[in-house]
Amino acid sequence: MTENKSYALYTGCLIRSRLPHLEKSARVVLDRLGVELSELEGATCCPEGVGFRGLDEEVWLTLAARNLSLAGQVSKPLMTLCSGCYSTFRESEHLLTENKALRDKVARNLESVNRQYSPGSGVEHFARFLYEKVGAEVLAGLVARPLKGLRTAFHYGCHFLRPSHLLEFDDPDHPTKLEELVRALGAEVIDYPRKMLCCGLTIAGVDSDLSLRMGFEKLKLMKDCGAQAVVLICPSCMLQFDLNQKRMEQEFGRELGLPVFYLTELIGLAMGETAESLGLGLHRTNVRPLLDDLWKTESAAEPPVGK
Amino acid sequence: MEVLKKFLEEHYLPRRAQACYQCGSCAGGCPVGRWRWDFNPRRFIEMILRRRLEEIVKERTIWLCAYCLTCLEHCPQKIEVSEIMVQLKNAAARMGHAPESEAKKGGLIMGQGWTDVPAKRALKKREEMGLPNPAPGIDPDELAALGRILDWPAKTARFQSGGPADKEAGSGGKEME
Repeated sequence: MTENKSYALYTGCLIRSRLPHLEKSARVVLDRLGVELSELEGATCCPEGVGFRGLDEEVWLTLAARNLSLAGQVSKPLMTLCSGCYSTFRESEHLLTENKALRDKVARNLESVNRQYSPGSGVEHFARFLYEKVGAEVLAGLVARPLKGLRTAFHYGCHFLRPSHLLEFDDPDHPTKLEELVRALGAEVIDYPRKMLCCGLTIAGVDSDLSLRMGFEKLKLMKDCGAQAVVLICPSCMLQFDLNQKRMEQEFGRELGLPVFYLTELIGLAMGETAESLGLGLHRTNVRPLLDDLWKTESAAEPPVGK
Repeated sequence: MEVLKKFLEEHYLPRRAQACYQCGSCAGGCPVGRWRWDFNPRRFIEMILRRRLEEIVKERTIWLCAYCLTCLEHCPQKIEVSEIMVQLKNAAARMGHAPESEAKKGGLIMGQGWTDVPAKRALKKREEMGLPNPAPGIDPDELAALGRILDWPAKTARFQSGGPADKEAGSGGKEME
């Protein structure tokens, strides 16, 4: 990893206000990899690309362009911790580049508040960065405590891979790349059907029952295929699968008990961070029993190497 | 219906949908359609082609689109179904048929800059975890000025002015059994 290591961090609404543990693990891991992060100042919500964009696309695009311009001013690529923010930035970046009429209109909107539109300096998603600029081998080299025996199911979510003609990262129907990172930590990654189905969170406001049902069905598929934990890369999916899991269990009458990890949480644990230092106590689906079990099995075989 | 007609033309909706031969790939892969028979992207495209926009914008089911982009990936004709869904929502919001949850979200973003801002407790939690305070966001005056430029006050007043919808989108969880 010799390229640019300095990024403007963009955490987004959910992580800022409700999921600080995701930011914690991302900062711990990126810091360890020598990445410099300075949070983008003066920003707004990316803005949210489903409901808010659905209200008025021009307003959505203007706020997104403003955020991109702020990153352009500090001449740093944006590092997003959320696939929704990633989607908004990449799609708006694309629209503003391709469509001159739209770009001129947005630039005029920004000028009237004394902002100059600039296309920004690129947008990165932390998971993509880890795969493309760090790689499984380097991650494997950082492992102090392999997650041996842990069977995980990977949830890619919608906006990290799609639209594939724009994002060009992995097969949009059968992705496998990020799973290499999880395997590098010593964990297993199981296969399960309908891996690319949406978690359902974005429609919670419009139909909460359906939203829960979509999340439940997906967790059930993972569980039935032998997963002990879910790994994901987006705070929205995290809210759905972790925070809402209890409600799903109550609503649909089946216990799931599937701990959910943000990718950098799992990397942090493998690097030797403790559940306490990563703030994993903030998870609603208790991660403790699973981790205790894992470390117990492991400590019998090979004692953990210190941090 | 002049506003709607103009919208249809401005966004080239019929033209963008024209190549559709109704194969249903979009509906077949739709994660919402799996559970809600009344959410059918193929049918929305058909309605556009038949210029039945007035009916679609009143159907609150269009707001069930999770914008997961599966339809966009799977369309053999490369019709950007998900992008067309965004335009349908925009048209519906302009005609006063936005759902309360989304109108509220709009108010939060244009009012405070974010869908959610950290409460005191959350800030304390961050401190305990050794995280810095979140960087300051947009200046409220700039946000208000931007809102005026974007005609937000008038827009937001319209979002729910269309009266009760033909069909409410919610309570789908029950009929799925």
